[in-house]
Amino acid sequence: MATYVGKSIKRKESFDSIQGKNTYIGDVEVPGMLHAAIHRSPHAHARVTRVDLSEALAQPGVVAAMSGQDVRRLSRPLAPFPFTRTKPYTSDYPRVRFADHYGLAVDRVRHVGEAVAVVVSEDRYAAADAAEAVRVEYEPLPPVVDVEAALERGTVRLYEEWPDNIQYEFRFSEGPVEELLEEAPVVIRERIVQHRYTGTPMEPRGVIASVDQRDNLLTLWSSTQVPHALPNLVLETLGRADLKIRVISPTMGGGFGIKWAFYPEEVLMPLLSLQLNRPVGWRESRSEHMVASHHSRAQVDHVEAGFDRAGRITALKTHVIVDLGAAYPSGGTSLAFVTANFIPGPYRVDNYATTSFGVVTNKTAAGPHRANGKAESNFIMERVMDRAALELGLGKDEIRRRNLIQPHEFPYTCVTGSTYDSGDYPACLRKALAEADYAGLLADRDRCRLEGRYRGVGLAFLLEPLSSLRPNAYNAGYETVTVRVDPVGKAWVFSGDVNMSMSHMTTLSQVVADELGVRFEDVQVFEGDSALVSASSGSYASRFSTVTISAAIKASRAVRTKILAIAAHSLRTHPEALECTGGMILGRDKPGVALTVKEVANIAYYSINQLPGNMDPGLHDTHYFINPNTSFEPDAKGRTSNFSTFPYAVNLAYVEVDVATGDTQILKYLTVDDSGNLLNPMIVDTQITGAISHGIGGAFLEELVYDEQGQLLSGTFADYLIPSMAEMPDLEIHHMVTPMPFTPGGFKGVGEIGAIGPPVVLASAIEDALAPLGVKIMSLPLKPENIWRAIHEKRGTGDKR
Amino acid sequence: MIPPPFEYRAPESLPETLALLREHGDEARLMAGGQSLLPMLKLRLVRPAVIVDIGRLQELDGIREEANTVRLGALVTERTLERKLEQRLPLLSEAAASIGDIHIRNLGTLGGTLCQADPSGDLAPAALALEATLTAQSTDGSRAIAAHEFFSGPFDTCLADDEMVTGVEVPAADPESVRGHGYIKLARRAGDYAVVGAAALVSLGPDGSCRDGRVALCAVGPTAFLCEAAGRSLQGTRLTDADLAEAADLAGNEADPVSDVHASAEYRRAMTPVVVNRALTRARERARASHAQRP
Repeated sequence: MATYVGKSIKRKESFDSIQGKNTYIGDVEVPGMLHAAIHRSPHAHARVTRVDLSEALAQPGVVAAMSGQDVRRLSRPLAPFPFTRTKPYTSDYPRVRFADHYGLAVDRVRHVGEAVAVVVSEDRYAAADAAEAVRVEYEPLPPVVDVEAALERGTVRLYEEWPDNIQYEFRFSEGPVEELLEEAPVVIRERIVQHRYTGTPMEPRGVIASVDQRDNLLTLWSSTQVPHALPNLVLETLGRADLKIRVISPTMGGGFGIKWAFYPEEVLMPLLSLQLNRPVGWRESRSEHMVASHHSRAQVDHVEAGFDRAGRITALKTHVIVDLGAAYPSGGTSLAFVTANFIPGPYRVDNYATTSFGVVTNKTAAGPHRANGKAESNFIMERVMDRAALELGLGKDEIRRRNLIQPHEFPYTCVTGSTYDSGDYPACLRKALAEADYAGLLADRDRCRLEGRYRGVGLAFLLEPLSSLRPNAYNAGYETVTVRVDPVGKAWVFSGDVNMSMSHMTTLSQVVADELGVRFEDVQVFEGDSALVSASSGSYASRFSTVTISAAIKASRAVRTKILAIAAHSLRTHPEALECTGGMILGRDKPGVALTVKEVANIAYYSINQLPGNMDPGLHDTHYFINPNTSFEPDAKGRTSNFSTFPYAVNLAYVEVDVATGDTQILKYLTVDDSGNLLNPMIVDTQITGAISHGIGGAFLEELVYDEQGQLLSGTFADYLIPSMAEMPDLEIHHMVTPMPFTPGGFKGVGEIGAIGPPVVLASAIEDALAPLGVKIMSLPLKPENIWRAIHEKRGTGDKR
Repeated sequence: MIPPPFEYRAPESLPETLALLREHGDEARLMAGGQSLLPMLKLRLVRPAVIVDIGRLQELDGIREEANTVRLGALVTERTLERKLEQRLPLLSEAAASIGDIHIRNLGTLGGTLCQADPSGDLAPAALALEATLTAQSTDGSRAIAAHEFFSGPFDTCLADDEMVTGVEVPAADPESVRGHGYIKLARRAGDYAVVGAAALVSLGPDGSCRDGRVALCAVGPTAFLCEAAGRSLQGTRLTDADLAEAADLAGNEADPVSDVHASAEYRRAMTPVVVNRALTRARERARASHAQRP
């Protein structure tokens, strides 16, 4: 059956993107559109005592301006995305609090870059000038910048109505963890610091709102990953039950999770448009993006792991402190949940206790970012495994081998309650070691050591929970796809996803063409519009190939069944005697084309008297595919299962460290990935390549640096460094395939796992290279100065070579 | 990302440009390649009333190679320096090649980058080590400024408000000796501004000893600067590893860096002798290779 699936078919999307023909949010022109510009806070923490808009309003071209007080008068606090209610949990933990943030800060600002006033002008340039003319009086408050200091008793609270700065709390305990740690012959205790960085899509955000007053229809264009959640969120925040809202998410120049949020501008533009009865648009500049679009990753972790003499983990205890920034509805609390739940990773851990806090600070809100919480959890566990290997005198490979979950144990319910769907972890490790010639690398490393060169091998086993859902949330855990064959026999596919440069058009076309039995070129895919399907959780957590593809397969199969039923009726035979391929219906036993899909479509829509009895006209089906392998209902131990599938990978890196400067050169980077069946190997490899470059950026270069006053010091691309081709090593990408057992196509998902690897495996490699000096790497990033400092602490700066 | 309002002028001749500078003084900013000015404008870090685009002044473009001097127009691009001076002024070529990427080097100019006076700029150490002289003009006439007198502080030069750099002259190497060069920079990424940058030149006499040594640094002080003590210490030596290490330490003593997001002052200070040593080593190896090829 598979004519297209599994083949490296060229991307349909590339024609437009290579020729510059895509319509991004910045290309959307609505006739009569006004331009909004936002005045943002220069303070990390301050009371807003006065906002004077008069000078801004007097500027040429300015039509309107609003302060936080105006917005509070006209709307409600931002709805608590991703949850549909402010009390989403029925049990004690997780516990979450929400803050009353409006589209503009009202009487207090809580991070540099928080929106304080908005001006609207006929011209975008004039709007930028007018935004500068807004006069705001601030009374600075002490900023809470350090996440651990934010937890101290008696410290300044960001939200006075809260008892402390803890927005989110999750606790879990299984087994006699304390006793086992006390008894364990080897205990690894570490404090780990992971730094703040983010997704930085090429295309920043943008929002345009336009109101059709006759129909009470508000059309909202937003560069968002959640076009179906936004109508609810905007309606609730505007308090306008009378409106209909359609959200269009145009072709996106990257999302990476940063556009999975409810942003203030998404209510400000509708509000302004309703007030002015004109379309109003805002385009985020890069400088705005760095302070106004969410950040990610920052956390401080405390970990204790007990091992027996054989190197097996007996107990694990963690304390995760996630730096959430201000409590905007960015979905950041999931960082604390995901990290804490998946620190045990690919290893058999039966006794585990964790306390996980999401803590507010005076920084830009944190939210999901490619490998959300998973980059962090893997970093923690893999650092522990390397330290334990050293402590026990085992190889990095051997300690992992002794702890990996075995193939016969799948589906494997992990200690925190999720069920790992499938895999063969030891085989993946074996394959990586063989492909990399692990023994040869170790020998080369040892040879180099004798010459005084510092080379090291890093090894990491990565596990990525994906395709997630939450109770009482917009990521409800299913996906909707409509497949339609039109009267001329062409296939139309409508999905709730968004087109954020992840090749959905191509892969959906491959799957639908195969399942329907039509030509790839005859499939047209539409996404990114809330009018297309009734509901969707949006694009995030690599869920597309798990749930969207499955929904498309199911819907296609239903349509195909109908095509064959009509054909069989027309040919006076049984559907089982027919097959459909390339748009042609063939007899299984007889050569030659019996009918075409186009002819069947003609019957289905026009010659309906030729339909089998009781059959409705038309060829279409809508399928809601529910996340398999998950459960909202807490089990006997109070655990829920929030992820459908668990791809994994082994990454191996070989590096040389320049001990005089702390600079690292990557000599080899290899990955063996198991993402289930491959939809399109070329696209899978480009996803992995992009994600690894993302991770290399995070490992060495990308860092959102705040000073003690809460000022962002890396707010431009001159300071926030994205890797270029020159920083990329050659990648060796290998695959293993263990099909996902709970989806019809056996696909898992591959958007994120590459981004997990580099910080984890490069820390491992650098530590190995510097093993003769006894250097330990427990914090990120791995930038030269930090590595130099670690070396310097051990041996001084004598070497001037 | 939207600049504040400004008036845009694009004069066709040098006298017209100088008259505009006289008229607008410190209200005007010259724009050559725009590779620093445009980002600063878009970030609203500068607010000139008038932008004077000198891109049409063809008389400021071009390279003239004479027996004792190479004369470079202020509008010669970094890419041209990189490609056209590989033989005659390889240090300047190597420093230019380390700037940004090809797109930036195609637009960025010699005069523009020197006048920008970024303490981390790559061309200044090369200009200092090569003892370049800048030509400055105003409606009052023209004057020559030695490179080591040109930079007066971070993003500041000794130019008057109505003056502009029209060209740079670089003396040719002493024909009696062979010269080796090296520009090494420590940077976060390929093409980034230096965390520490060092330009080194060494000349070997017929007997293979060092006749002349020069070391200039960027990113470790308020301006790029020439380390005279380091250069002097090399004169007459055989350029052994120990000689280079001593010179590197002398240069390191002169480093007075500040901290930013890319590197702390402490790291920059510690890296200065490392980078100088590597630049000198590269210069020495090249000089020795040329020396070995001499008849």
